[in-house]
Amino acid sequence: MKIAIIAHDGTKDRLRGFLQSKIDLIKNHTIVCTKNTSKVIKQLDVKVDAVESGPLGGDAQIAAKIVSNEIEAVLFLRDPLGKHPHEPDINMLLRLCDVYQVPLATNFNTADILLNHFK
Amino acid sequence: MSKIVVIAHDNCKPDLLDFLMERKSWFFGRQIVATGRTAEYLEGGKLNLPLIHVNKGSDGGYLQIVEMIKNGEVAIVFFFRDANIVQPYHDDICKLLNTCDLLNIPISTNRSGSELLIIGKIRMEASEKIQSKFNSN
Repeated sequence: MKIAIIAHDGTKDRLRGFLQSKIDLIKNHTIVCTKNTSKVIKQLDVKVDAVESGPLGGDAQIAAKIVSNEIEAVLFLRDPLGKHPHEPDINMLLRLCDVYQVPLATNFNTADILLNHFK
Repeated sequence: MSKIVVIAHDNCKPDLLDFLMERKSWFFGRQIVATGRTAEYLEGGKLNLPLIHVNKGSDGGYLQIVEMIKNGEVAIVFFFRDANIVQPYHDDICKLLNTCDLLNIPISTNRSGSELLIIGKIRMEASEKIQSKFNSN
């Protein structure tokens, strides 16, 4: 199973530091992420499976993977102050996580607690 | 920073009650905040925990919770959201989710996420306890 990680532009810098501190927990998992987020994660030397960037449908691709039961947890580090043209895709992803009962973190504190379960 | 917020949409209320019953020992002695009808439902069940009531969702309960979060009173939010309905107060719900993300408050919107959050919290508190004991010795 895979962990999906998506970060909006406003949170990407913070994501790098966050994942660095959690590297032991994620290095044995395949990470599915959107294109621009994958650039951040690739620097950390973990297996990355990149899909399109968010505005081009990446969120929708990850949502599709949730439907086909490939995703174990979603870390979706949103930037609540940003404006996003693909807002409907974002809401779809949040909704499908609830439909398929996939653990979802939308901020760093939640992500911190969730990641501790992935040894 | 000590209040625990629990909210459930109608279809998920039994699920929330079940969740609270299972983890009753953790919730015991904590300040639990619930929106109007969720609180009524929980008190109607066999859960004997004191609850702080706010208004029901349609009367601005979410906004009251948003205020509490902004004042730094909330430690964690368990939100059992029904993905198959759109509430007339959808904007309030978005505001709650956004505020949590802005202020970095742990929040889960479904049961499986809530289970992981609470187990994580229990572990964290246990290790803190051990640490403080270790430091005092």
